[in-house]
Amino acid sequence: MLVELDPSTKKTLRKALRNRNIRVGGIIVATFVLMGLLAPFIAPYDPTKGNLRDSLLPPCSKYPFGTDFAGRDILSRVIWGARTSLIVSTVSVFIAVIAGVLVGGLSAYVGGWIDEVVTRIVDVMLSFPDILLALFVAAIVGPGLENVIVAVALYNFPQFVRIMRGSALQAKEMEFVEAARAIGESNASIFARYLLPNSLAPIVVHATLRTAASILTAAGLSFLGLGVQPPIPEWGQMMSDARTYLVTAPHVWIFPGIALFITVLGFNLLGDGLNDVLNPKMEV
Amino acid sequence: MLLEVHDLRVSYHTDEGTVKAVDSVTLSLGRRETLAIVGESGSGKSTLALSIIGLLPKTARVDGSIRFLNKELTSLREEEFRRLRGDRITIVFQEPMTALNPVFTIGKFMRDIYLTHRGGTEKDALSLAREWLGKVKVPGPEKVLSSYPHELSGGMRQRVLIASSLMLEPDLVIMDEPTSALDVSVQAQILRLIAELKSQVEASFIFITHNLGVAAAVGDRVAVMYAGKIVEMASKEEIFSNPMHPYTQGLLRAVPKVSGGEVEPIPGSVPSLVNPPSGCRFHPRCPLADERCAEEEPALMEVGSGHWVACHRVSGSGRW
Ligand SMILES: Nc1ncnc2c1ncn2[C@@H]1O[C@H](COP(=O)(O)OP(=O)(O)O)[C@@H](O)[C@H]1O
Ligand SMILES: [Mg+2]
Repeated sequence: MLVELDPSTKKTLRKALRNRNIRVGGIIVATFVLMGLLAPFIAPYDPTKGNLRDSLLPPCSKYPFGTDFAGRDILSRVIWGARTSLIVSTVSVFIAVIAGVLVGGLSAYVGGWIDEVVTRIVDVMLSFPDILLALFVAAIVGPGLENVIVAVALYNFPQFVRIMRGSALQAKEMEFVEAARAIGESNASIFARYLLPNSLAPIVVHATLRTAASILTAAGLSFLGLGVQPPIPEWGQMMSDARTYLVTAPHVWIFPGIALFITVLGFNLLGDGLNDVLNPKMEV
Repeated sequence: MLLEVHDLRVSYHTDEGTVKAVDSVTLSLGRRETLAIVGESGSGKSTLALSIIGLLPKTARVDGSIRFLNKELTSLREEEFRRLRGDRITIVFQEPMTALNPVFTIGKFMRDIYLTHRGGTEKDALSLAREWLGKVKVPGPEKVLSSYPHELSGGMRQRVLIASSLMLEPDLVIMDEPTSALDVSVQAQILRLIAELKSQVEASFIFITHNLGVAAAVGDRVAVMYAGKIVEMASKEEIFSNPMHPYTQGLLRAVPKVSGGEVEPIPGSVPSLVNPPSGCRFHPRCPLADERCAEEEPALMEVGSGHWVACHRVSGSGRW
């Protein structure tokens, strides 16, 4: 957030490193991100090509996580699945943050009937449970990687509108915004340099938490066949494939399940930790 | 005259009704002059200040005229007004804890003011900022430049804001209760600093306070405001030696004295400005009020050279 390492940033950083949620969550998230980025180099096998003779093998020295019905290496598919989740969650949250910050911030800043209309729409969108809104969109636009991104971005969008609007309204009431006007700052400059940066902390925290929820929702959509389509490896879809062998070959769903669980946990821990460290700063 | 306010009326539209926060105020300010405006909280001082610098909320309606540097400010385009603000007219607010953006360093804040209005280089901006931090007696200006607001005390922040308000050599500096939010010991230091700086710069000042003692210490002239109106205006010597309006006299008795002694607050409080009292707005609290005061509004009249009062008991039937 702040480029130069001044004393107060250093203090925040030290506080962050002492926070256990941040340390544990950070390690998990870093592992997940590295796995996603380096998938082509660290996965032992091609995740899409299988050997039917090796179908449904339990974990062994050749395949540490075993194989699925098509004889594909589950470890490689879990690693590549991280890449899919990483793309879907970060791109969709990124889109939602940008759109939400612009709409929420402007809505608060401009006020009047525009703000009222925006608030109403957001309230309606938020009244649907996450997965329902995503399901609805996915059902309309159809399955596929890009469409999952759109669906997940859309369900995240109203949340960021609300957060940004709230903190922009708060910042707007701060005297420094009036003081900024008093030194001749323009509206655009006040929005970009006063309201935005002062709303950043809650946005960062929420973006982290929403990444967790987005990974879960994207996996859910894929599990239901409305998400990422084969042959692209995806954890939810892998678990869905395992439905027929739930008991006979549990390793097919256990490993992607564990990966999903740990990753979501990691983002939630990181988000909680960031919340502890960043938000007291807003008290000033 | 640098500033001429004529028959200024400002009202806020609220759910409870129209608040006539400033009602028919006329005043003028010469170059290098300091006008202190004094009155209890809710008498419209801040509203008057905000109307001069053009920062009233959208719910406010302004009538009358404010002429500054031969420009009519009430009809000035926002574009043009923005160029005046922070450059020709500056303001120091009451609350230094929240007047600075928490995400900017002091250096960035001061540098931006310079760059917004002067252009020029970052280096010039910073050296001017450093120079002014020295003038407001901030210890270690270099370190303060790289500090964030929350690292500074209230008094330090107010010094920074005062430096920022004077840095570009403005024509008019408005200070709206600049010491009211500070510790008593710091208040005195800041007041001394302001008095000192006043003699070093070319600017004119409007200094707002609720303490008549402070007003007379800082101002060349003092205007006493009550319920949106100026009720008395005179040189500081006159205000002290010959206060005429019963409200001014009340304020004078309410000033804490160095010698100790009893402070007598004026009984009652400033009335709602949605439905102000009829006649003289002070009559419900005035020890001298009669029927006429409740019916007829007294006009502001010159009773001596440069001494103006709005009171029936003074201007109507001679001294009482
Ligand atoms: N933004 C506003 N909206 C409505 N009423 C206001 C607003 N600002 C001030 N007022 C009212 O205007 C009157 C004068 O307030 P103000 O100018 O702040 O006085 P002072 O600075 O002397 O305390 C008060 O009655 C106050 O409640
Ligand atoms: Mg005020």
